[in-house]
Amino acid sequence: MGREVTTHDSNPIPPDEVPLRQRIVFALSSLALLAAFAAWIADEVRPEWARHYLAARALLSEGAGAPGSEGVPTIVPQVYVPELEAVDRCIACHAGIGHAGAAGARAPLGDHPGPMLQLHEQAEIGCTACHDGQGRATTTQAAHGEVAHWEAPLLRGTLVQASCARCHNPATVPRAPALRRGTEIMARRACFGCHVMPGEGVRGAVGPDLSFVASRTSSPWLFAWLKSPAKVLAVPRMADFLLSDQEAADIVAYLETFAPGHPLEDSGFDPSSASDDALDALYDKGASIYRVSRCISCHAVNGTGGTVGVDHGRIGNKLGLSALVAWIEHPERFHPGTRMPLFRLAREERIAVAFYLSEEMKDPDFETLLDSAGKELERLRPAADPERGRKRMHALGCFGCHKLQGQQQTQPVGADLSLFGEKPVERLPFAPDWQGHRTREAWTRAKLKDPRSGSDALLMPRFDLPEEDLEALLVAVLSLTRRAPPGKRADDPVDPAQPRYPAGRTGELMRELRCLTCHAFDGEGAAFAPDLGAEGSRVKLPWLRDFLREPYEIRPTLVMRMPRFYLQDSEIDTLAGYLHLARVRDGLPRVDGAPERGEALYSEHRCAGCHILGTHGGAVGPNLSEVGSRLEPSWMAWQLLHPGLARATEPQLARTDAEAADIAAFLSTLLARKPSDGGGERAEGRGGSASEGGGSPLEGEAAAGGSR
Amino acid sequence: MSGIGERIRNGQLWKSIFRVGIPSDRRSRLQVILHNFFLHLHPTRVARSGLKMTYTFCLGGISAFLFILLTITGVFLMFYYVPEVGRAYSDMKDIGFVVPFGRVMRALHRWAAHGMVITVILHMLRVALTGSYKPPREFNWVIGVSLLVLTLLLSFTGYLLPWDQLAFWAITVGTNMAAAVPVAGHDGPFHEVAGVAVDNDVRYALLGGIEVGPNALIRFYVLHCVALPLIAVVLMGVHFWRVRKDGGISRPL
Repeated sequence: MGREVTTHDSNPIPPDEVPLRQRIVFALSSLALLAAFAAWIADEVRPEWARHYLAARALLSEGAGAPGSEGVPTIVPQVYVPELEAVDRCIACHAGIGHAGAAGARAPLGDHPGPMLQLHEQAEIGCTACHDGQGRATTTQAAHGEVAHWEAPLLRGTLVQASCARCHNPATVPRAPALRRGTEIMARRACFGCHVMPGEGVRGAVGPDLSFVASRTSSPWLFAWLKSPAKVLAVPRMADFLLSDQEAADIVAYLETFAPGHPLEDSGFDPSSASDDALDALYDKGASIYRVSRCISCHAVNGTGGTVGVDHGRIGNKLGLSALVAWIEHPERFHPGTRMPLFRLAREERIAVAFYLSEEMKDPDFETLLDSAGKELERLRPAADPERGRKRMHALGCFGCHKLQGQQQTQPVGADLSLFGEKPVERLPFAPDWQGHRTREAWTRAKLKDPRSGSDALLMPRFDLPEEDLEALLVAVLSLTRRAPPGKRADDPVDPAQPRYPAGRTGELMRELRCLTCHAFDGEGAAFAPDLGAEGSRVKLPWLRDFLREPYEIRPTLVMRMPRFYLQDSEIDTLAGYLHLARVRDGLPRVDGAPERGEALYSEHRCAGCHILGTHGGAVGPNLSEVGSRLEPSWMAWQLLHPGLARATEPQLARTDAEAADIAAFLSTLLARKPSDGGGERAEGRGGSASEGGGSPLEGEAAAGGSR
Repeated sequence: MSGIGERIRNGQLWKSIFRVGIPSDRRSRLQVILHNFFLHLHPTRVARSGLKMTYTFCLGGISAFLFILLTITGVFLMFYYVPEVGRAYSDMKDIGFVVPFGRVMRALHRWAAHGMVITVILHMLRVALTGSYKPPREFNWVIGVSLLVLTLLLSFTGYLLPWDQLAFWAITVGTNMAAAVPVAGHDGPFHEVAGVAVDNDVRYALLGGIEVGPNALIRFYVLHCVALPLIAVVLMGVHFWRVRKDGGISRPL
């Protein structure tokens, strides 16, 4: 360096002039930066998921089938499902999934519990399609979606059943009991009366037409019911609107104004003028019709029985004889959306049933409660204002469920729930004093438990559900999300309240009998009873006619539910003819098997483990003693090969078409002792004996067995 | 040791790059600076008082440094990010979760972007407070204001790219503000004078439509990654050069 340069670089700041404190600060911040970089690089080289991955590999290497190669893979393990736009990296940590050797290992290394992965191909739907969470994430909290602004956090516990509804019909999906129960509650308690939600029933046709209610029942009963439905019925369908005494009195006063315009005709029967013997006979006759008509299939009595119709306990306190007769004669007149069939009963039979109900289903203790309700009502009556009652009914959304002459709900009073399961947490109205985590699940649970907490302006009634039902309903409400794309859906939900009946006279008849309250056509309708979608290909016409005339028990383990409708021959012809000709399945195999080989296969496959044949066998499946008279051979062969398609629960045991044909041929030889031609009077007598326990079919089977 | 260094710096390779050898006097040192593309932005001489940190706080320098950092991390992010409506958000998530070193690159880019907005504003404040906008620096002040606007625009356009709710609504609000400017915005005063309507105003130009959608995403992406940085680089070149020409770095008088 030249001297000149040195001159110009004179007076540089010598290092020792930098204060010590500054130097320490600089050194420390440099070290901190270095440490941060080191931590970052370490995390990149060995991320959180890799530790779980290696642990799972170590666990599995003791058994067979360790995943992947040595070391940490350079690519994060993931499931990619293009149709669902899902990239699920859950298996990076949950590395034991799909490896039976990891079953029962501690989380997150264990295999997927239960048979779900056998039923759902993981490669086709991934993980988040059911479990939610953030599939792309590779750290625990982020992956579980339990971070701010992730709208679909992991569905824990029973809540995962909510996602079944994305592809399956929530009312029928197997292995999701909470979802099924919740969906049933949702339909039964008519959430759609107030809320907009997908495919659920008709507004204004959930409860009875209120135009008639004041002439059908007494004002004290109405008052007691409005005040607290749970005190009137064991399992009321209507919720508790938490009305004040004055509000209830106003509404009763308003409903009473409709009574003069909607009179009830007298039944013309006066029990006080009849003899005791005649009344006893009438009572017995009514009781017998009540049984044969299978009323308890739909109606509970004090909480036990069906859930389709109203609880019959205390029906005698609500309705008088005339009201009961008028209802049985034409239920739809009083309840436009009723699911009750129009039974073909004669006038005396209607009176008998009504008399039985008004005697048997009357609670004397409840009468005293009605008396005090009546006194309370009289006390409030001077201040009661019908117009105020009308306004209150509109505000509470009563006409979302009930019809009333001249009144209509212009718009639903409740929130739109159609995509509630996706509703952003920020948009849920948490109470100002809300404690704990703000999640969709927590808000919904609190809302269902206590619908009016948080604000006086809230109108939702209280449903008083037991804890278990509340959780089920929570699952069902959270299941209201967008559906999977069409190619990924298993089946579409159908609207149980709006079943599509066929056109014309047949449809009219089926609608009167409300066939689709229990049955379905190809999944459309209800799931109480067998699907009739291919009934014409399934059963033989003469059997069908006999069965409609006099239903009997087919499956020994199930409660018999099919009512006797007292149909006329022409009506039976219409129904059986329609099912036989229109409800058929194409492409069933033509059966040409050898009964002897079929019989051998019957014992080889141990069919008797589940089915009764003759005098012995298991009671799981239907009794096969007369099956040749009931089922078409081609159907039997097809069902043996495709139990799933036939909606049957039996295992698939037949291996080839020939085997199925042989078994079907064998079963076709098992005929009823007296093969019926479907003629009127003869079958009437025969059917009676069959329904009483089936002595004759067993004898018939003994004969068949003897011929072996 | 110094012999080897001297040989290298006087060798042909060195000279082919730097054009001059070891400066031996004041004149040749000046040549080194003048004859080098990278160094010629640098002043040949810096006054001693110009080194005083507490006068400028190096805010302009930090802004320039952050710009370079943003360019480097931004190029890295561009390798993984596709400005398509169906992919943008998941690409952003993937950069955070699975791209090697992606999380730190995105974090650096994001924090540096916030930092640059802050330092550029503070830089302007400092220039105003020290009166450094006065002649002969009045033109450089104008360039500086343009660079401030560019910085804000870069920040704004980058905000849309994660394509999440925050991005979507922030850009919705921001472009609606553009729609409210006089004459050029369909919601602003005097817009009818220029015949400006909802489908030909400044918001329409920004979004490529009347709402935030795929067109807006690609526009903002191209502006953010190509157009705005190019203009910024050119203006920064002018800015630095003028700093030198207008008397070097601001310093206490």
